[in-house]
Amino acid sequence: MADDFPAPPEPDSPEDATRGEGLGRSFRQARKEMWVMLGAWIVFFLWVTISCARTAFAEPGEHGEITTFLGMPSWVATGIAIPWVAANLFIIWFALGFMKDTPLPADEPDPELETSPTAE
Amino acid sequence: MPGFLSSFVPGPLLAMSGAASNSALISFAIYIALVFVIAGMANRLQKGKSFVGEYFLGSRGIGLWAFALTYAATAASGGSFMGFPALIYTHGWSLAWWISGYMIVPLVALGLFAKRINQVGRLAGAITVPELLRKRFANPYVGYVATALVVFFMFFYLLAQFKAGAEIMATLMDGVPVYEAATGWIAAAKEGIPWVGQASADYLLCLVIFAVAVILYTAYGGFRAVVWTDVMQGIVMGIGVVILLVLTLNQVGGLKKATETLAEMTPPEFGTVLIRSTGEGAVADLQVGDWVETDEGGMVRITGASNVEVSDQPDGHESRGMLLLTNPSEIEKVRERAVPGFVARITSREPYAHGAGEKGVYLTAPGPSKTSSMGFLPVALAMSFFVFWNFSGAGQPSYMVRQMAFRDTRVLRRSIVLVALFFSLIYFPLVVIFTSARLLLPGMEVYPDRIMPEMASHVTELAGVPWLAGLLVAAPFAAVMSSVDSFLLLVASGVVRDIYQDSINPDASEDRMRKLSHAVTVIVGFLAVLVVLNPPPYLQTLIVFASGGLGASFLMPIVLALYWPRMTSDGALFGMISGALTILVLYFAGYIANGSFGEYNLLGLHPIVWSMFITAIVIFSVSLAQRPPDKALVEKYFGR
Repeated sequence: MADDFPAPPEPDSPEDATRGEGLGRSFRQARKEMWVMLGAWIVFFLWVTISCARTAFAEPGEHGEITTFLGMPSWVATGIAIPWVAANLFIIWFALGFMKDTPLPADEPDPELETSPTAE
Repeated sequence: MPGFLSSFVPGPLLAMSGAASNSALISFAIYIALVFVIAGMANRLQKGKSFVGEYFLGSRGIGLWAFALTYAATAASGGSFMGFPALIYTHGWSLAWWISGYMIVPLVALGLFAKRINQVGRLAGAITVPELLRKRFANPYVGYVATALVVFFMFFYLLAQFKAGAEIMATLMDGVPVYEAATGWIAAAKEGIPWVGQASADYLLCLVIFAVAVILYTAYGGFRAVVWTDVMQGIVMGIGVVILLVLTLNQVGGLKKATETLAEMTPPEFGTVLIRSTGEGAVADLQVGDWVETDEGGMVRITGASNVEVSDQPDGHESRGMLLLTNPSEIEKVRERAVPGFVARITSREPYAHGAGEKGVYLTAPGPSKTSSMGFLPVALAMSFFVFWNFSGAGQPSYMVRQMAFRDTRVLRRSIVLVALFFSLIYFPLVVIFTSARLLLPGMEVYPDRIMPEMASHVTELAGVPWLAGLLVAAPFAAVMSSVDSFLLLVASGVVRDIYQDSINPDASEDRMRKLSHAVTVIVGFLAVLVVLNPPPYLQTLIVFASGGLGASFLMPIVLALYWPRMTSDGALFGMISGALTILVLYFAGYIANGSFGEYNLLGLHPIVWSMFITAIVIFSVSLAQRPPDKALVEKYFGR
């Protein structure tokens, strides 16, 4: 697996390293997933906010009756329940279809802090 | 009921049936026994491995179910099963919007950090969040500030969770003969002991049992014990909610009927009544929570002593605070529970500031509110909470530590799906259950935090399965325990790894680290118990304060540390400090504005939203004003 992620070319300067030329493939993949995730958050945030802001404050009828869907108030169904199901479907696609497995490095030994059985 | 709980919990409210009490005791005993078996197994696994890595991070070998459920169980703290149900009961379906951010929390919280924080943690050889930051920026001061913020804010969390654990356990044990006898003995034994003597016997007993259990298994088994017990606790929570949902819907005649009935309901009113005895009973014998019929045929529930002076109070009458039901169906439901021989006359009424007399108010936003004319959930606040749940939750170090512990990214991907299903199974059904609870248990506004155990006892008895109450009440207990153990270990790791090993004795032996880790875990737990013997006021607000403080201090610094190579150590340092200061300033402003401890929602937005903006600006400004970070550091953490 590690062969899938070859070492990046050596950057010429610190500026190059922070601008992307020296960034590794594993990092770039994680960053791509982060942007998709943030995009999804914005979509669901807008869906819930716009839908609920438009419908959740509607006054019930004269005798207190309101429209329901599957037993719950309609605004909850369209503004919360349906997006919740959609979010779950998106999460399943994101986690099992879009997100890539990345080899995780072995634990880096820390010569300063590693404990030894005898040292005091 | 003697002592602490009786000061704010009515006896009849908490009393479970005999079968329920016995089942609660048996459930509790089995539960505690299992927890210690797990701790023993985890302790055996510590042998032959690096102690610190195993004790605080499970040797980064956590698999699918363990990772998913430890994450979910830690997230679902006592608030999910006490405070949240209370809010649903009080404000209705608007809570579905309030909690809706959880639909995307598994993706944001795990997707934002998990892969990168695990990767960077391994590259740095870091075991704690402050250590990760310190090594990522090669700056010890970043680590010191991070450790100080973790220990400071997390201690508030511990206090609140210990208190919640003791309270739930008291509910669980109420009516059990052995427990009642023990509280009597402790009441006599504690007299005259400074500080301890001020705590009530029942609270003291429950706090000590709860604390000893959780401190011992955490200290003995370490991170792996915490994770495995979280798995068990997560399963208990999931099963408990599903059973409660089925029993509740069955008893209200289905969700549609419950919603239609709720549409007819209007909020209760608070106020004062004059009560007189019409029989042999004395008014002084009436307890908080008792129902009394009014001279107009209505029903009031006693909320406490009245502070109102009644000038024409005749002899034999007493003034009390009250909750007045306003719906005929609710009045008929509780009429048979009225204490006979008393009659009440209403002397003052305080309708809700929003929603008084409005049918359907429990079905729509913003929801009824006793104190705010804007209602419970205006749009700006609803938007804030969608941000809050996702990003404040993601910014909690207790979750980050878990993300440093999974075995590989395959575990991570599948865990995201499992956590999403778990949250869906918990949070939306809780809204259904506790909006329906209003139909079954009127007048619980007197003690809304008790709605969960009350519902567990009520629906199982009605269904003819009172022994199930033990399992249902174990769900919130499990939620509290799974949070306490995680926070305890986090504070201990800050002291042992980040302060002692990093700064005082880098050459500490394996044996010394083991003894110190055990000792610090016990001492931190003991200190928290000592403080919470007499719990400070505003404890619930302190939880939100601590959560907001941690999110504000760590969210943006960690996100940018993981994804922005150009970020400098000073950027991290000032980012954390500015995040914490934003929260402190907005809470101070809240204190000035409201006269009590609480946040100030500037322009209607929660402080966490402001802290995210300010922290991001500070980090970008400071970092870009400085030279780029060392090339070797960037290559190490971003070059793969």
